[in-house]
Parts: sequence; C-alpha cells; structure tokens
Amino acid sequence: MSELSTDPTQSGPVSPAEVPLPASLAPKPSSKTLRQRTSVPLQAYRFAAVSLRMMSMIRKSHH
Amino acid sequence: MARVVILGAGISGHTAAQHLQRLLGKKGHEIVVVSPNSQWNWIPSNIWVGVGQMAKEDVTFPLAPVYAKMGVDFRQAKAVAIWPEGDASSERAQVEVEFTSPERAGQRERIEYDYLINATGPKLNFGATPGLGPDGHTVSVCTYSHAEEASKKLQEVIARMKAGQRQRLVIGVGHGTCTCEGAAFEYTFNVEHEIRQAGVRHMAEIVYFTNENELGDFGVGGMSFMQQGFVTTSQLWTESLFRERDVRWILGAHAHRIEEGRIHYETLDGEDHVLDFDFAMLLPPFRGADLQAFDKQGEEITGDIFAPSGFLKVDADYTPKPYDQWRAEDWPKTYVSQKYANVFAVGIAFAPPHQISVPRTSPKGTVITPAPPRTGMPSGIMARAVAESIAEMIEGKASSPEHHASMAEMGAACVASAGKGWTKGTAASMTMFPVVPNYQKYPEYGRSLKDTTGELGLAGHWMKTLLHHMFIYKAKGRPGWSFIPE
Repeated sequence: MSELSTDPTQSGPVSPAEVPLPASLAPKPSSKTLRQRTSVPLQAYRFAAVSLRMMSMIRKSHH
Repeated sequence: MARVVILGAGISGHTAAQHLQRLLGKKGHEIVVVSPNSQWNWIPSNIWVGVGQMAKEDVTFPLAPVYAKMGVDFRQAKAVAIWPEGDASSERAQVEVEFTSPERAGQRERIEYDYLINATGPKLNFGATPGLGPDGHTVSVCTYSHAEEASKKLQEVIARMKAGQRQRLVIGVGHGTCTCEGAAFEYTFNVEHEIRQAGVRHMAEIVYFTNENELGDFGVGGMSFMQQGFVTTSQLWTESLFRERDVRWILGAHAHRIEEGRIHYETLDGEDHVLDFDFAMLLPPFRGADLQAFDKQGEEITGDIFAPSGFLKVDADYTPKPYDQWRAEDWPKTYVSQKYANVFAVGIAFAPPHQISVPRTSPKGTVITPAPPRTGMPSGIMARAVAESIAEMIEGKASSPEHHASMAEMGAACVASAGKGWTKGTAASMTMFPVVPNYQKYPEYGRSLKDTTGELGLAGHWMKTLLHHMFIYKAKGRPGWSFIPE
C-alpha cells in the first residue's frame, strides 16, 4: 500500500489504512446457496429458465 | 436511388447497417458506414480481456471484409461536421469526414446523404477528471487496447501480492456523472475472481468506487423484483454479493483529480476525501463525438442540433423539470432529429431527456448522479427501428418514421459477469422491463415485477458466453444472422 496513507503530518483528508466494510442489512448467502449457484445440473435447468425469460422479454421489446 | 450514411460501427451503427442492407441493399440503394476504427468490438467482453481471460482477437474482427461481403461502402474515417441543408455549391445534405486509415490518414472528404444516422457512440471524456485514464494514473476497459493494458497492470499487482505486498485495488467510475456502472461492477468481480484463483485474495483490498447513491442503482434507479415470494431490491441483492466476496464500497463519489496512486474525491455530503490505490480501473464520463453542424450559408448551428453534451437532440421532451415530473413519454420514440427529418441518432449518440436515477447534488453543487445507460440491447433495438423506418420512407411506404423503440417501452437483458469459468464462473442475469420506469403504467415499482428479475449463478456465465459467440456471429453477417434478435 502507498506510504501516503499513513503519513501523520499530512494536512487535510487522509486516506484510510483500510476502507471499512459499510454497514449493510443484506443477507449473506449460505454455503448451500453458494453450492447451488455452481451446481451444474441445477444451473443447466436455470439456464433454460433464464433463456426463456429473456426471450419473452425480448419479444415484448421489439415493436 | 437513395444513400444512407451511418456514422459509427459499434453495436448500434453496425446493427443499423446490417438491417438497412438487408432491407434496401438489393434494391439499388447505397449504405455507407463511416467509422474511425478498422475493427468491430464486442465491448461487453472487454472485461474478460481486462483480466487476461480473453485476447483482443477474441472480441474483435476487421470490419472491411465483412462490409465488402455485405455490399456496404465502408470508409475508415471519423465524421467531423455535417451540412444538413447542403452548402453554397450543393443542395444535398453532406457530412465531412477525415480518414483514419493509414493510407489516407488526415485526408478529408464530403459525403452526400439522403438519410444520416449518428451512431458515433461516446467520446471517452477522460479529460473531465485530471489524471484519469491511460494517459494519467488509472486504467480503463472501454476499448480492447485499454483492456489489454489493464490486464498487464493487473498481472503486475498479482505478482506483487505473491511477493508479499498487500495491495488496494479501486474499481469504479472516475467522475460524478459517469454511466456504465454495470461494467465497473463486472470488472470488480472478475478481478476478485482472478485474484482468488491466483491464491492471493487475502492480500487484496478491493474497493468499488461509484457515483451511485446505493449499490444496485446501475444508472437505472435500481430495480425491484420478486425473489422467493418477496419483493426485494437490487440494492439488497447487490450488497449481498459485495458482503459475500468482501468487496468494500464507496458511494456517491465524484473524483476531482487523480495523482499517482491517489484519488481526491468528494462525496454527496460535500466532504472531501483521499483514497490511495495500487491499481485503479475507473471508467470515464461520456460525451458526444463533438460533431459540428453548419447551415447552407456556413453559419454554425451545432447548438441547434446537439445538446451541450455533444449528443444529438431527437424526439424527446428536453424541457427542464423536477424529478417528480419526469414521465416515460419524455423519452424518444423514433430518434429523429428535432430539426431535420432525415437525421437520426441511436445508441449513446442520442441526447437523453434526463437521467433515470434520482438526480443528486452535493452541498457544494457537485452533480453526482449516474447518466442513463443506453448501450447493448436497447441500442440494438433502436438501431433496428430506425433502419426499418428509413427503409420504409425510402421505398415510399411511409412519410415519417413509424417504428418506435422508446426505452420506456422496451426491456433490457443484462448479464453481468462475476467471474469466468465453465464450472466455477458466475454472473448476475438481470432483466428489466421497461428500462425507464413507467410509474403511470406500473404505479408501485415503475416496472413489471414479472419481467424484472435477477439471479446469480453459473447459468449466467454460460449465458454471457453464449451471447458473446452469438453476437459476434451475428455481427459477421453469417447465415441466419437476422434471426438473432437485438
């Protein structure tokens, strides 16, 4: 990391040594959810579902 | 016989050229494409070039042979001025171009037209923030050559981490009025993925630096969608991914200047800050291509045709009004110039009537609001609509443009990569309908909950890979290209 971030003599704003993780109420995914996101059989099914959903939306967008 | 001149050969310009050639090419009409670039570039995959997962050749192909095969007249040149009323020596409208091809570099030529489509895309306005960009202290993935340089710098950072040096990587936007936050989001998580694959994730602090007021805004004011029986927001959904991957974020930020390894920026509360970095990929704000316009007498009329941002004013309602009075019908439908019925603008080149995100200004008066995205699928749809309108007018089937492609009446599919790999990759697959919220039609959320969706997973990566190959196939004009929708 640049030495500038820890210079105590600098006037004005100082870069934080580490940007804090902002507070958030967003849920973190469980390990099961993470496994499902890369499960090939499940994602093959999701690929088909997402494709159909996108095709439907594309049809509505062409006038 | 009519001549249509298209300025630009990006997604919108090339789409317009393909459809015009399909509709008019065999009927003796002439399609001319003017582009300063010799290569076509599938820009959505530049983020993979930027992390070393693809080479330049994977995302580009030479335009000249494709246009030669199609029967389109291609001039490698940049447009510099238009004479929509002709000039003292000719009644016909003209555009002046300056060649960029090595054999004719610097030469100028006037091309007469019956219809003109401005699809010049953006001028990458790195100069808006001192020190921003490849000529300054940050990298970019806006072009394939920028992305190649970003990849080299990223590999240097990874090497330093392997040598035991902790590094801070800042990825996002370099000005308070930038657009394309989705690309910054993609690059953030592709970098995170690459660093994890390299086994040095514990040595990296990754910071997403954005002008958005909340994560998941993406320049479209965020989205609401159904998930497991609840209406959730793109903010919550995006924050979840950031928490999962331990990516920090700085919101509502406008970079005032960038020095070597240091960003000076202001946040929406008016406070000034500095942030040191070891690697920074910050996207520039966009402006129009700085075309000039002249009337028949040679008087400059640029301000009558173009907005101060350099984008061409079309059939939108540009009346300044407060956010709560913005309406879906403010957005253009046919993309015809307000002043000239034979001039159109599509993709980034048209001037939007206002932002989509809630406009925000710091107490010091600094505008910190994402500009509306108008790339990808919407730019292709509007290019096709304009091509169809022009074809009908040339053939005498219509006297004015009849094909509509308002961003308030069309949806968009966005597949944002979060890491490449056939079994380990992920991407966020998002759809929204419409792009511009229509609170008259969808009073509660502005968009259809049925057609506005988002999910993360490997399927999204496969989808993005499929789109990569599909759209390059289409752009090359291979058999059946016209069956692939925009």
